[in-house]
Amino acid sequence: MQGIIFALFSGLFIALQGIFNARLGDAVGPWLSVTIVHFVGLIGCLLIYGFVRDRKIGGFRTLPLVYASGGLLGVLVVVTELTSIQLLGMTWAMSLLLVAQILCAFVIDLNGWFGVIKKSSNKGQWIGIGLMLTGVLIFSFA
Amino acid sequence: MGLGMFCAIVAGMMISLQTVLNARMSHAFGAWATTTLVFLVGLLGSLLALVFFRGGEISALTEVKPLYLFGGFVGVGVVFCVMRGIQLLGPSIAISVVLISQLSFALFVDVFGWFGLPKVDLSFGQIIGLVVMLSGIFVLKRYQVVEDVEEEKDIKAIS
Repeated sequence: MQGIIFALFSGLFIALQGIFNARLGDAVGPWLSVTIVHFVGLIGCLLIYGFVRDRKIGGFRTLPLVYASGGLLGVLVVVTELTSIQLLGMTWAMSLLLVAQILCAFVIDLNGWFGVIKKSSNKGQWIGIGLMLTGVLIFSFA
Repeated sequence: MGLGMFCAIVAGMMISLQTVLNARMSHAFGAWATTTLVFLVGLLGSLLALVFFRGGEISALTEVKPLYLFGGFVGVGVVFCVMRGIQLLGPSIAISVVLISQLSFALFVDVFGWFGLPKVDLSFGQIIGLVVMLSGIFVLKRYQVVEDVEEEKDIKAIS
């Protein structure tokens, strides 16, 4: 039950975040918005990290540099997401985003890119993808 | 429409990539140290982009509802809740619940025009499209169940 509540709030927060960023973008443009988002988010993280202290931040020097680029992708994510919400509205923007996200994860798994454990696909997954894309087509032409 | 769709698709793909990179990093580095580092790198990247692209007056911030400034905090809440949800429910169920919650909330926001976003009327056909899409996500996730469990074992073996 507790897990379901956390999962429900995750979805709610993901949507809320998109809305807040889109509204912020209306006022100050995408690039200032993404800066504010990261500034405020960093403060939040540092607060939690202060309590948890799971690893020394300085330890990042031992990591491959490419991992740090995840943070740069975050900049692109916020800017493109808020733009799509402004242009398409929440439902259509979130639907397209989710389908793209799921398909991309599927392709990464299939090919074992980025050191992910390579997984073979099965018929059920392809049926799922077919349904997903059919849904998107119905939505866009209905 | 074209730009909006392009942006939504790019955002989705980038989220996938980021998820993979962050997951790999947090195996080695701890979840919160990872998240902090991700936001720090993101902040540096944003500042760089801001210098290049300009646009947007800081003074306009006074006109923004203060609530909307806290998207970053909400983002940290997402990281925490997703992590706890997956720990308690396992990835497949947790992610399915996250998706339903996210899409239903999006639907309400559009239909009722919450948060000052323009009201979007959805046709009956579009609702059908959403249902078909969601069922596709479920089928896909359902057939991934076994492999998710295997991967969890792998993760434990590594750490």
